[in-house]
Amino acid sequence: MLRTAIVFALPILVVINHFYQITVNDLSIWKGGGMGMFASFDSPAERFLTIEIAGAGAQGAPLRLKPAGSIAQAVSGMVTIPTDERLARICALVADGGVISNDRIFGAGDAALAAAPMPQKVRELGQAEATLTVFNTVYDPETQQLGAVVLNSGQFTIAEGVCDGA
Amino acid sequence: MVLERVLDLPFRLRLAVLAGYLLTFFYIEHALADMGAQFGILLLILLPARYFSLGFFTIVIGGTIPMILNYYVADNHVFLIYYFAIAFALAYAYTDDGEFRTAIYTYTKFLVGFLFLFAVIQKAKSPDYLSGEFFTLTLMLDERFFGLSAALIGHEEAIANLQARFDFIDAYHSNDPANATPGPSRPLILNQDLVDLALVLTWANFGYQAALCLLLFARMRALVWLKNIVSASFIVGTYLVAPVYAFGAMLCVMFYVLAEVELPRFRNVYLVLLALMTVYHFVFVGLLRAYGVPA
Repeated sequence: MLRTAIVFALPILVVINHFYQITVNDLSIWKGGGMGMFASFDSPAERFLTIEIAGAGAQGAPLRLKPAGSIAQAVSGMVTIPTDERLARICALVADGGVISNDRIFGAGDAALAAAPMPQKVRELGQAEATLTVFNTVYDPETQQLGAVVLNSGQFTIAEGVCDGA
Repeated sequence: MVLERVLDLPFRLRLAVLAGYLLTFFYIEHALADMGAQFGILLLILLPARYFSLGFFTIVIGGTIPMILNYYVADNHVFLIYYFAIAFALAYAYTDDGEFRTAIYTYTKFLVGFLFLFAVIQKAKSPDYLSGEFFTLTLMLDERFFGLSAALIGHEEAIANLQARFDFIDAYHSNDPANATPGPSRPLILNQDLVDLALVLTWANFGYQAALCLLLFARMRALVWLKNIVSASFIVGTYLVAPVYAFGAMLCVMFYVLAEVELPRFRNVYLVLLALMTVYHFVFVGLLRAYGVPA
């Protein structure tokens, strides 16, 4: 009787948690043991994270970092359920070892800026304000275009390789 | 009676081998845990028979740590393998073969029913599944369906769709002032053929899963053959469209357990399917990749 109860209860508890996390924390329907793969466009692959460092870009514009390497791997796990805590954890990774994207693009007339020595890592920026935002891709059948909606966003202060609030 | 006992013994042993094999797909993205599990499974053969269930259960519980660490990353079939492994270990603890058979059959029937019931519920309540929108987007944007998409809307158009999606997301990471405020993507290209095929895939998939769900709980003896034909063709169809080996293997083993009790004449079909899938996955696809052919 106990054995049967264990076998029956485990998947049911997991699926209850799946629906709870979808409602409360925007868990992707594909994940968390809810048997929802291939049931909706809302897969983790359609979610993405942007990282903006205020004022660090050309002419004081925000600098956008593209998650790469181990951070990209951590991000792909985080976007499945983008809670505040998980956003802060990514911020900590970015602050500690985030490599400034080498595709930093400057607008016309920014040659002098482009030629100037640039920090290679986020920790070299000194103190910085970072905004992390998780987007989900959505489709508009009327216009046949993809768009993005914000799932969660967090603002953090990065100083000396540490992300405040992480 | 004697024949039954002879058949029971191989079933228990065959299932032990299959369950151990499935466990090797349960440890995800943790090389050490993976290695530990494979060693553990090999060591099981050294254990006295009465400790087999405990040993198997220990390996499954050991796997709970990587499972928890990867909880929201793990695919659904990893959960299924975990459930089945626990069910198998608990059932194996019955020393009487008849009790083992009844227990593993009951547990497996519940797990397969659970799988298809929730797959159907998720699709029915999804905002974009039954309308065909999900498969329309999948055909246009999932690279695995590129060949099909290119055949339906044209090669250049299929590439344009993938490029539109790439550019759309890339704009959010770009520091080009032109992308300061990223907007929607370029319109995707589709035609009626692609929409029609998406609808066919949508309803075929949904219909199959709903039918299996009903047949699993149907008590009519006459429907057992139908259920097994539907389930075997579902495994083949699903594997051809989305070749996730561990999921296909899991389904083969689970339906094998059900057939062992309900329709023994059909049980070997699932073992043959598993063998074919294994050859295809590890030999054919491996060879294609070795020669640089995308597979």
